[in-house]
Amino acid sequence: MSKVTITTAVKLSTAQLKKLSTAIEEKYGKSDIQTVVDTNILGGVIVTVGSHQFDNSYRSRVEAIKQQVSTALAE
Amino acid sequence: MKKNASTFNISELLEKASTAVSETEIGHITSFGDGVIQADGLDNVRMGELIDLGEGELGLTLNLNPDKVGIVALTRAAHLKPGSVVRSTGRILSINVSDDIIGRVVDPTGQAIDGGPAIPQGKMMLLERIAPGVMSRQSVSVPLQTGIKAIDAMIPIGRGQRELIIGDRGTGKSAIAIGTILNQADQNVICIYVGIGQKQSTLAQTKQILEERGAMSYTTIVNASASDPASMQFLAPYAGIAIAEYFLDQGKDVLIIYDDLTKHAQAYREISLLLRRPSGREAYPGDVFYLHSRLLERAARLNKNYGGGSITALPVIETQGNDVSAFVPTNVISITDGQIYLETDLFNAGMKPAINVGLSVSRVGSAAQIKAMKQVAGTMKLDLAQFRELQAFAQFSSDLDDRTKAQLDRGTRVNAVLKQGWDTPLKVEEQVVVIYAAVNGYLDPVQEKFLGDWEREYLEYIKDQASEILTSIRAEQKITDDTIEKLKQAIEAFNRRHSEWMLEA
Repeated sequence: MSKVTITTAVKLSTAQLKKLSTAIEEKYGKSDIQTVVDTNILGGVIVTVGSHQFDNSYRSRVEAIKQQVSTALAE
Repeated sequence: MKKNASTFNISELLEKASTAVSETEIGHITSFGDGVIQADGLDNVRMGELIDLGEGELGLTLNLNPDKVGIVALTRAAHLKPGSVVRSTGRILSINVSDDIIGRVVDPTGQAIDGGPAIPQGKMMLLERIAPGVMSRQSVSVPLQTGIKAIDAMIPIGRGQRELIIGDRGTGKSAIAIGTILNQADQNVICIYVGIGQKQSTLAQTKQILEERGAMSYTTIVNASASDPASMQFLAPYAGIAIAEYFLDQGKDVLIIYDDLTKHAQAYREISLLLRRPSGREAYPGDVFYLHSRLLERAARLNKNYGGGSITALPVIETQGNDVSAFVPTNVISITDGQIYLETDLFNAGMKPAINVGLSVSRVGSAAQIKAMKQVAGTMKLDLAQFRELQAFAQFSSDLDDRTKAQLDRGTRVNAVLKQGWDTPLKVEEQVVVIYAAVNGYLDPVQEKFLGDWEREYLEYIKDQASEILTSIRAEQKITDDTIEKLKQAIEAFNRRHSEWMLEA
């Protein structure tokens, strides 16, 4: 029984949540799914299963681009 | 123009930007202090894996427990707080090495710290790697010329050997190491100097000397200075040997110097104690032997099937009060193939390099000497041993028989020939002609105080008037009978020229 946390910037609709939950339970079996709304991630969704994290948030993508641009500029 | 170029690249970058979903192991920090982070989560992290601490800073996993992971921060990581998220990178600790790393100064993570551009992408070399096995090795037979007479004549080092330089502070250990690097200019050997826990001013001086003498064209410096975190000091030697292995895999000969492993052991002790690992003798952790043995075993000579390259290691250990039977010194002595033992008393008495020839050993020995050197240095060690015995005897009595006096005089002259400036390496053929003169009695008529001048002028004379002797030795790798005759005549002619230095007949 794994502990799963779904973090989004805006509350998921029931349909969206159902779609995600089915996908998660297919992979990890019956799970205890919690949803969290955190505007700091700017958009997208983060799914955390135990210590494994699937990060599809806008914030981390912006961070990645920021990192790539700053290393390119430094050269 | 630069602005246009970078805006152009930014649009390119934005288009190329990774849009894949990132999948990482995460953990949350439960405690952070003294550079050690305890985190929960990180269920599938591996030993030695790099952890992203955020803001481009990295940590190294060193302790795996069922409910927590011990991570050592590689940089200050001042932004971390309890609860901060850390991610695994999936990368085992490795360093980016390419041919352009020669001539640069890098830190143990591969970042350039000499103000130049980043090291271009090459091969990722693992810092922890299993040493070459027995069947891939070859025995050591090619000399590594240090340019120092005392070493090349009596404690010869071969390519692929590990030779320890051990002594108290201020006895000239680093000087021998740097002198050896300076002598590799035409020897086709790539040098790596690893500074562990040194003062930054000392390293700046070292770099300047190497630059002035043109040694940076074949040397790389890996540095973790005294103010760097203990984790960086711990990793520095492994980063150095990883760089060396990159060149070894290409079949090249490499010289690596670890200056010094005492500070390395101390940094490892600091990390282990902070990670609450059980401590043993002198508060060192139980695996401090393994710390050095796995490092030094990676210095080897490979056989032709594996490229035929070699890595020669010159680790440096600093003793306290000449105590070679302390814990870390005895460990490293048992791992290396010999030691060069430097003594404060000799240094203070003016014998520089302050090598104690009696206690120093090279377990490879004459297998790593060219025939010419073997011809002249064969009996030198025995002669010097007999001289040292007589020296003690002579201090008590001034009434000595002629034979003993002669032996003492000969010994003093042979000993004086071993003195050398730290930054004046000699080519092996030059060493051979000087030692030949000393052991065959051509120095006996020279007054003691002029021995230094004699040697200097003699080498100039040979290079000037009889350079075919040097060319012959270099080419043949031995002294032919013809060359011996020429050499005898040259020395006698030289002695006749400088009668002002001779003893009264």
